[in-house]
Amino acid sequence: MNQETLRNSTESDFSRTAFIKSSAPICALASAQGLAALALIRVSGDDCWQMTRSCLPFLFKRKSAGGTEGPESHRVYFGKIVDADLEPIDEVLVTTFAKGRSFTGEESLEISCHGSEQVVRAILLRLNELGIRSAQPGEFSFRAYRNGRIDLVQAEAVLSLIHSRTSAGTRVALSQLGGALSERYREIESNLNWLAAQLEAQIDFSSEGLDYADDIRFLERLGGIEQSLRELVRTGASGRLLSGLNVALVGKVNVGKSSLFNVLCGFERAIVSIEPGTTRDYIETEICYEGFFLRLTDTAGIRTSDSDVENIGIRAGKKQSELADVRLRVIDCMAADWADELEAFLKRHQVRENSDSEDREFFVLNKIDLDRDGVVRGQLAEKLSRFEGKSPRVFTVSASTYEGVDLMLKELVAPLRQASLEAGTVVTQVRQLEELQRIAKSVELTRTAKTNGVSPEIVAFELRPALEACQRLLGTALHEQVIDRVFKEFCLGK
Amino acid sequence: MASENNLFDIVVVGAGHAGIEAALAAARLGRRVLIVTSNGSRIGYMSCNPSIGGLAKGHMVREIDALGGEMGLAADATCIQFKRLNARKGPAVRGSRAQCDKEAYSEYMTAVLHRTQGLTVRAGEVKELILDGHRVIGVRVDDGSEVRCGAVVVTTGTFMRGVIHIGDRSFSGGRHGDKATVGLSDQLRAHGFEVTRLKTGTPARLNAQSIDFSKTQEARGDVDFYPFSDRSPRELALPQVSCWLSYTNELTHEIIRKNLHQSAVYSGQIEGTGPRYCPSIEDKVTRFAERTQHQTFLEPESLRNSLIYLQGISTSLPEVVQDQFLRTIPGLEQVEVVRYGYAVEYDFVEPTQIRHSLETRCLKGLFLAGQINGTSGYEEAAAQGFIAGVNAVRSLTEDEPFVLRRDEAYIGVLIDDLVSKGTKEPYRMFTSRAEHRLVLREDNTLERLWNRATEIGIIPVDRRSDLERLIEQRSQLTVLLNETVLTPKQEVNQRLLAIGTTVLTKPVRASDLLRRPEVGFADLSAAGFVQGSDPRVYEPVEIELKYSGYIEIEKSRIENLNQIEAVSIPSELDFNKIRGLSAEEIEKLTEKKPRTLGQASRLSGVNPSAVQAIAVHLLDRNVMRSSKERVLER
Repeated sequence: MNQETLRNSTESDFSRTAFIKSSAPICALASAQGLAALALIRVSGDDCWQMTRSCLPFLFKRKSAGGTEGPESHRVYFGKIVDADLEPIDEVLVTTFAKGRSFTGEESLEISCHGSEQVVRAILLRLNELGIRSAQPGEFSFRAYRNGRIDLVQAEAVLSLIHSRTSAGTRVALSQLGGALSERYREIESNLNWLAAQLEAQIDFSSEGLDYADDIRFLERLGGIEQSLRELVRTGASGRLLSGLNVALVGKVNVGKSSLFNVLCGFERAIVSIEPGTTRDYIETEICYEGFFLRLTDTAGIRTSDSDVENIGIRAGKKQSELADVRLRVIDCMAADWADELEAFLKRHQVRENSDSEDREFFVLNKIDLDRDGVVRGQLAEKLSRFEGKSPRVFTVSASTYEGVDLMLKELVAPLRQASLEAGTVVTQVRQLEELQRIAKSVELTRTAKTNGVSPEIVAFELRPALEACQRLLGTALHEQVIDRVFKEFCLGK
Repeated sequence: MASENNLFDIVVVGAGHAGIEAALAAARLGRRVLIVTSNGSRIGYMSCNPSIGGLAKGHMVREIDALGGEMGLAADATCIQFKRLNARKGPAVRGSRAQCDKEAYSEYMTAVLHRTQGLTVRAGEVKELILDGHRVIGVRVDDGSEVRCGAVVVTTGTFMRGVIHIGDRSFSGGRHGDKATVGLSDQLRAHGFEVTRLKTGTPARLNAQSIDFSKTQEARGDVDFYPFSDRSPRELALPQVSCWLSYTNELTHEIIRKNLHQSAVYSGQIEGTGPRYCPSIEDKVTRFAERTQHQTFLEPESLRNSLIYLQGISTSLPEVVQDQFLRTIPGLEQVEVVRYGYAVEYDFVEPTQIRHSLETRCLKGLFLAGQINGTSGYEEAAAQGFIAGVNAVRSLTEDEPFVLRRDEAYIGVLIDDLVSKGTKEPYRMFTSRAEHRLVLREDNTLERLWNRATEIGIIPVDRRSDLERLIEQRSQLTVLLNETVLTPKQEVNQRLLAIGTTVLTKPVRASDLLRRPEVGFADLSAAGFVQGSDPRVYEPVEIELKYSGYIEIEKSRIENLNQIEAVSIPSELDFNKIRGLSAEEIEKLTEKKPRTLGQASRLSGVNPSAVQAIAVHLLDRNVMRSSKERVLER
């Protein structure tokens, strides 16, 4: 084996329970989740003023005699918080608290920034980069209690509140924000378990003549995980998959999908013309509505075409619409067959109702401004009157007058708002991203160990933090998962 | 009733691997011990495979030995084939395995029991525990006599309501040729213990004379022998034997498949769960139908008889079918079966009902060890037996129990797993169960358990000084390697090239040189840079240096965990009073009674936030207690 690759540095690994005695800096959003004009981010822990210096340079003044002067306690400072490239993220007010004079009793900062999710996320991520990890639920209060700043009743009150959140916590956020995401986490977990099972079987059952995966297959799987992680981390950083909802506009040609798309985007993104079939590919954009992200895809209209290029576009669009969380089925209300379309939609809706599956299709009757005498509206009301209680999602909109668009958008972001209220989306997401980065780090070390031909116990040692992070991510317990997997994969037994 | 019946401090029920260690530990701690066994001629009998040690198990044998147990000494003295498994998989996962002469092993253990002061062996079956409220004060033996004592260690193995299955026949029995123990588990059940069934199996024993070994591959042991015990002689006592490798084939599998309905395991006669790591051959051909062969080692059981153990082929098919399929295996065409394979089903006590001391939660003075706690394996049993024996003694004087942490020993992992998670199948140790595997090595057993062994105080004084010398030699060698500096002189570089490494450009410590992958201690010694030729001394030092980077990280992980691990939860803590716990968590915590926050965090269904809530609650108790103390001081 190659000892060149042996690690000689000490690092402190993250442990979900290690905070008990730690006073290492932590950060978290302290104000309520959801839409607000301002947000408050709290940072607490040893040396946190110095540690945030590179993103909050204005806290430090250059002295005339040379050197710099740090901030004073209980003062408010105004300036720009900057990212790693010194590009401003936001203008913020920072309140400083010296050790012994703060809520937690530790050196602290409170950053009040603008209330947008993007800003909050960017600041939290920047703090993470500077080595300030995200606080666990209740950790600030715990520290306050430990340092004698609050009494037990207060601490317990905070804890029970947090508890009611975290028990639903991760899972709610995961399931509501998109089953697709938790599915991807689970896939990573499964692949990590497979890798661990390969290693452990080689170690614990070495004398049983088993067929282990060779290095090539092992590294292939590892590569698959790395690929997924890169994607997840990338989308996470730009706030796409982790908080966005994928919305596809579908429908026949020339029903006004692109016009609607442009309205939703607020600018002319798609080329619009009155000639049917203008959109030959799909176009994608991300919008932020009331603080929530929507990823919109405008697909090519569905029709049979002789053009190969167009057919490719249609197929690509179809794929996008299958991947979407919500499909907006756009119908021209002036078209003769709109009522037939509606019937078909209502049938599908009924089937979904009966099978209790999620309704992910909106029926969007476009060009409603052309229904000047209200005939279409009247017929529509009549058709929908038989639905009591949970009615199908039918909207009348106009891409020309913007009528009804706002109502539809509100309906689209409703589940996001719900999830954010229940689980504290921003914090959850940043924590998820942190865990993903831990997995990535550990997987990278595993690859290095494996490609250098280091013994399996060392490879397994490098992989372990990834397994642990993944289980924190999914809220599952490590226990016997790997051993179970060994039994599943291999024929064992003396 | 003779008065001598009242002279015992501890009664041990059973003289298997657990019972022996329990009885010896207690007697060596100066207590009067009675060991009751239903068959005095099968003391320390290896009922299944003929080996002691193996992966993760070798670790435990060395740990038992370092603490003052007997198993390692016995295995060293009766070893007929030694192997160091996983020699190339990394130093932490190496495992020593000694195939032992079963008869010699049992004879060795019998002799040790008989010559140990304060220890009495009696044949008989314990039918009942004598209780005073919730405290055990003695046992009732089947001859009607009563024995009074301060604590009882029950190590009944597979004997409690044991039922043997071969084909469609089943009959009461704890092991082939031995009757089952009946009564004890009913009494435990009556006292509210959850008692359920497990099953295990054993392969056929063959007559070596009827085997054509020329059709098999010979498998020899290692040339180098590394005894389990640092107290053992360095040389092997017995001549070494070979094992023989053969394979099943499609025909074997076809016969087994055709007769599956006749297998006790498959016909639904057995309710107990069997071990997944030790499946019957029926299981193997069913679950891995695509495999065209399965390997089997033919292992001699003793130098004194011609029995061959057929490793990997445990079965409960009828005798006729066993004869039929065995004869399809190369070498076994004419085989004569001396004893057929069978499955055995037995009662075990769900181990979450015991404490880390191995004392039961609901009956004071009652300790359980071995298969009765749901484990499998001689080493797992012996480890528990030893701990139960020590703690039974401590319970007499109400001393703090002896508990090993998960980062101290595999024995700590074993008991913590059992007590906090319970088990659904016979529990066997794997290295992967130990999260701090890199620091729980065979080579550093002595150092890592020295202080704990001293705390117990079993290792005799004359042996202690030998062991202390060994520890001292190792630490001196470490110092020497760190202080020896090699300079890039031509003469030095030539010697380095000669041992296959690269030249120096600046002065380097010998310890850094040893961190080079291609350089071993033996090379440095051969090149004359350092003195030393005893692998017992240099091996642990070499490993510790070569892996120092990883070991440091592992130690910091342990330190992190221990911050919370160390916070103990008082047994009287009422979880209902802690705010922030869900009803499900309160139920779980109340049932499992975790001893530390670390254990609480490992319980399934207990969220991290619950652990924090308990932490806050405990912190408050401590704050209040210390402020009370301050008031009292004034």
